[in-house]
Amino acid sequence: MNVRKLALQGGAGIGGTILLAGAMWLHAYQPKVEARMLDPIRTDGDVGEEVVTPAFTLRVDGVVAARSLASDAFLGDKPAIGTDGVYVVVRARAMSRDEPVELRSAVLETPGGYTYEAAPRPGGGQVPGATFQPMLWTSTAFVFELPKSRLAGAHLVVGTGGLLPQLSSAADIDLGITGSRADDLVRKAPERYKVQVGS
Amino acid sequence: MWASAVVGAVVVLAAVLWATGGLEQKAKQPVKSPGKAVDVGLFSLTVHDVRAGVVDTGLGESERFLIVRMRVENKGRETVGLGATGLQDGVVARTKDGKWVKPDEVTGVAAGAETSAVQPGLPVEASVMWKLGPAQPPPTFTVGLRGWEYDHGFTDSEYTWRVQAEGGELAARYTLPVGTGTP
Repeated sequence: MNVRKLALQGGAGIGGTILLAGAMWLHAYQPKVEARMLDPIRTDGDVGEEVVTPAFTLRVDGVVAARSLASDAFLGDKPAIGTDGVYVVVRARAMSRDEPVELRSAVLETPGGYTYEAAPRPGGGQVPGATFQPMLWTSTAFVFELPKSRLAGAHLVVGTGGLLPQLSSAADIDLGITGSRADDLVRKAPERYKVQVGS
Repeated sequence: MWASAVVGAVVVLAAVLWATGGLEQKAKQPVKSPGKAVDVGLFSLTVHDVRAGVVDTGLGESERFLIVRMRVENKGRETVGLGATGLQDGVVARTKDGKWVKPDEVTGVAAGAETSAVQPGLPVEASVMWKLGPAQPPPTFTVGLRGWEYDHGFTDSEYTWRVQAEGGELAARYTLPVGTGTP
């Protein structure tokens, strides 16, 4: 009788401990999800198309690849800013919808889940971050640096960004870079490309 | 009889544990030699050397730094900065009194031009720098590389690369002679 009671109590103790440990594991478990609940809401589009988001409208006019960027130093003949990969310059125009906005977040997403941030080099003739006004088109350019092999299939994702980009707007533009187009872009890529001038 | 044997064994075990520093695992700090790539999770780092040098801080002023030069490869899938929240958080140097301190500045050069970020697939030569002030440079300098883990935080569910700064554990530790020169 005593043995049976002891076994019962022991079993209950072990079972309870397992249940408690399981509950704590479940409480601490976080599923591995890449997207976050409050990520910006994306509007898809293509090159040459006016992509209308709730906060702004963006139109990508063209994509250029460059082997090096001209320095934006005023004085002296500074050397070009080279790269082991390739620079991708995306020229676009944008206007806001209701109130002035800044497009603080610009990334190039490439197949395989790679993300390259804009404005990679200081002094590389970057176009300063513009404020886009309602109903007024303003030209801008986004510069990226990435390995040549990652160019094909790239998407430009531009958004209003900020510290807490909760459900803000973003435009996701397929740059239409196929494998052969990527090779072509790299082959024709100029040296000392002037981002602000566009040549 | 049995009870006294068990009590005796426990007392001996406690004494041995006290003498050897307890059950807590000693922080791992594997000593590495320069010139070999070390995988720290987010980066593959190859420490070259340490030197004391003068760095132009702009506006015609310059400052003396202890500079650790290393090759940085981004093994992640996103652009990572060299400064705060990036490489700077994962390198530490040991002071005379045994504290580990973060660098004051990190600069980088890729393809002969300055850069402030490491792109996936494009290595950067970085200079990780600690202010030296008017002091004489020490004969040797001890540097540690911290590991990075792709994980969520204690209170948030966002998966990101986080530097492993707790417990004094390092992915690699170097004690290198200090040379002279400019970066």
